[in-house]
Amino acid sequence: MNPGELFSLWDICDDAIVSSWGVLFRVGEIVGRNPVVMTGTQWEMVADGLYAGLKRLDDGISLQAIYCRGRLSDEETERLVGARVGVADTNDVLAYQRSMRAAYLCQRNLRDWRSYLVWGSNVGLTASEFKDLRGSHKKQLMKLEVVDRQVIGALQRANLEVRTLGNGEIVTLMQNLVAPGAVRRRPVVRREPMADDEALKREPHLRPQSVREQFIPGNMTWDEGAAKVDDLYFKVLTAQALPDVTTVGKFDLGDGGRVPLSELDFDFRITVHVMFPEQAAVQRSFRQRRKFAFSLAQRPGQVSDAHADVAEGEFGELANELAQGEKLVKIGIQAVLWAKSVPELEERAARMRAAFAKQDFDVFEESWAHHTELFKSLPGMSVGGFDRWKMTKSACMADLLPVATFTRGDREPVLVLEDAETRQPFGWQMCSKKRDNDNFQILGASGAGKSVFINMLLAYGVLSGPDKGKVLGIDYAGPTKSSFKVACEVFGGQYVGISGDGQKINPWPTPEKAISGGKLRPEVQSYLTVLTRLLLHQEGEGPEVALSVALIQKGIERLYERWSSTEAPLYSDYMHALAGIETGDVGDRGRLEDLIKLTRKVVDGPEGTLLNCKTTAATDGEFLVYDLYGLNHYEDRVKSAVAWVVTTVVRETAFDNRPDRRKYLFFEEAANLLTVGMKGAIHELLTTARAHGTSVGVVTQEYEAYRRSGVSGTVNLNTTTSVFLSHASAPGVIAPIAADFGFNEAEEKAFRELRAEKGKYSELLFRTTVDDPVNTSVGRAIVAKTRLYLSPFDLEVVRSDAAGRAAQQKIRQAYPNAPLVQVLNYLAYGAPGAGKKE
Amino acid sequence: MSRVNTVYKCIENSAHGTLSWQPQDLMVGAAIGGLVGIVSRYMVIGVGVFSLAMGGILLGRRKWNGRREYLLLWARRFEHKRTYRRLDPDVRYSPLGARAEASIGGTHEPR
Repeated sequence: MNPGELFSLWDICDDAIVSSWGVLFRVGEIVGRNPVVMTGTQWEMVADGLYAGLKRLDDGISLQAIYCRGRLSDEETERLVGARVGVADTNDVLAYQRSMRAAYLCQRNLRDWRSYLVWGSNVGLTASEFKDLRGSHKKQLMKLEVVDRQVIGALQRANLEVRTLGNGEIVTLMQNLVAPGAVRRRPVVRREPMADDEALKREPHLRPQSVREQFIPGNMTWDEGAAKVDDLYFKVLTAQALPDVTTVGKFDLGDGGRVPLSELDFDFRITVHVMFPEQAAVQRSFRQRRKFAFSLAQRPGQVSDAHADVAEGEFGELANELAQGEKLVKIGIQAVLWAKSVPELEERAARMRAAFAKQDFDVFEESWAHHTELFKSLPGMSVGGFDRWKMTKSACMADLLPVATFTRGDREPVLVLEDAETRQPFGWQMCSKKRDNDNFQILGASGAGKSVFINMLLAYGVLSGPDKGKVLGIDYAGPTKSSFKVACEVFGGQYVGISGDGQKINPWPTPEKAISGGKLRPEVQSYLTVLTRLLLHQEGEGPEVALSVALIQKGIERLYERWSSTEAPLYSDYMHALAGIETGDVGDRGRLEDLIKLTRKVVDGPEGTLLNCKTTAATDGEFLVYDLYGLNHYEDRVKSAVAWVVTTVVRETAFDNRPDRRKYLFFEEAANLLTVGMKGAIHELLTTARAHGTSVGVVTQEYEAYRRSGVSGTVNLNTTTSVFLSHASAPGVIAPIAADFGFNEAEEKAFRELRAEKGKYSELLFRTTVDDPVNTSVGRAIVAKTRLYLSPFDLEVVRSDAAGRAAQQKIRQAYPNAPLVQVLNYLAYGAPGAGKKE
Repeated sequence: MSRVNTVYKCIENSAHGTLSWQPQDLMVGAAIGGLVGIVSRYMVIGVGVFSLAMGGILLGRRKWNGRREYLLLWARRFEHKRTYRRLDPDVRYSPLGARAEASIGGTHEPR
């Protein structure tokens, strides 16, 4: 016999499944509510909406909820990461790292959770209706549209969305369900007979294949314990008894713990079959049973029968609920699992039974019937064949339907993380038109994994990939602590530590940059005036200060007028320019002398070592980081002056009049940067970044200081993505952060529970806007609790601990000519044939 | 968490209502009853055993969740070659005599 005979599928057309009985079914992917943000009260509202909606469905409607929990395919993982496994460019660290990450994530066994709802009427075609197939099919389609409205309406009452699948998607889904994990998919086509009967006898393989048999990948065999389809063994488990009680999202939401069945790391699916029987008949039968139960409980002269009393009590309670509109429905639950060998399948079945038992379900393994039950668990295939029904009320049935969906983030991400609960991929695209701007903030306590996350962003989102762009980082951590130091070394960036004995930036621009059309450019004059006022203590207001500022400006103009070199002048040159100013006014003469004295103090003082020097620091490049930690010992006035100089470089990068070219600005240790006077710059950049094609990232460790600075309001207002890392080492700031960001109780719980395991993973709470899973043209605000795992190669790239760095240096010194990729690869994986590293 | 719904165990196994006889139930019952009647030479005993067998079969089916294909499944365990072959024709593809190539229209192309 042909295996298709077990599969009562006729066709897939008009966005519907047609079964052998001519019954039509629609298939929709359920996009449920996000459990990370849902509170108990909100779930109650979902439940009430669902109960109210579903009990209004007509008699004769069939539903099937299918929970598909499989492994994310390698192709999809490669697509998300943007690299093929094993096709690595060993000359390019970033490309190699991406390929290694794809390989690592393929090994991580990432999960792919999808929930589908299948609905239709369980009335098929009669023999006479089969004679006029087209006409009957149209009638069935019209009936299906009525069911569509009812079912989608019921889901909408609970604010659940459903994305109806088209023909192509249904075919793909069916292929995935019948032959999970198959690499090559042949298109399903209707074939007309091309050969006559005689030819078919000689060449039986030329016969046209029915649609349904094209889904079945190979021969089938069966025995007591399993059915084998092609090279996979399948087992079907069926619910023998339902739990004593149910709550909404029985298969989606844990009771304060883990998501049910999430401990199962193998592929399986659960099908919940639902049928709405004719209420008049089932309730008549129910009343009759109630009478029997009453008689049994009230028998005179008998010993008290507790069981009968309980049954009678239950009948009474249920009768009340039925009087209030509840319906009696038939449900059946099947779990299907598969493996490549029988022992593996048996082990999985045992784990599955245990997992179901935790959920208070009593399940049994089918015996000699896996091959038939397997096909009944497919979308739309239960009508007419499934017979493992249980009777219950509609609210309990509603509790078994899918209501939750953990967000998967953007469709085309630059960085792929894992959902902390389900191990599904969560992708984040740094630049998206669906957001108002591409600014982001990262908040995390010390040791939470901020540096690692930033390095991963640099590697996958900023320095490579589709949103690749120029990077400028401002840090205040020093070379031993800076998040950027290692990244600069590995990815060829320039790490500039500004300090008196380190690198310097001459604040004075070259004449080429300063002069335009023979005149000093106003913005240059303004910048130099502000800087010089800061340095010469000429802050404040009033006529005296205004007159001094006029002299400062005159000095700047005079310097550039008489400057003949192509190199930039210095403050010592400015001092000479001031001395050369001729003024007849006695007051001005006095002010000028004061300014000259103050300038000499700058030139000769400690600030002179920073600001009266030629530029030694890089000011241009694709990846540039300024670390201002070297200013730590200078007075605030000097810090502010240098910050002002750096700010000017940042502005030149951000506002380069090329909005088509991506730029990324990272403000690391923002709380410290704010103390040196970068508040204005951060404010200005955040508010105007979008128009210039710039993303601004603000990274904060010291939340209290950051909060006090007053810039947090601007940051919150002008960022569309907030990434929270663990604050377990600073529990005091958890409540203020939760309050400032308006977390509800579920979000605060998720935030409070964030953890970081050094060397293993760090957890991140993303609050952003991502691609909407239903409407592709818009975005959707989400919160996701994710985990960042690193591949061994990633780990070597971001390694900042002393021992790890020393090991890297040792190998690099021993093999000075070896490419960096080879060194990191050796440290991460060990040399081929040489075993693992020490 | 939201409302807790009680699953009423008193009706849980009543989804099949009163199980009706199927042709194979009658065949099995009649075979058992007839055999006992012939062996005992008392047809009354045969009829009694037939009644008991029918009750037993229906109770068994209820216990086995109303499984209708019990005879077919029971017989399949004795099949020597337990295989469905893809090369065999799918003769029952078209229900109720509709032709195999009968199409109800539509397309398999993605929307």
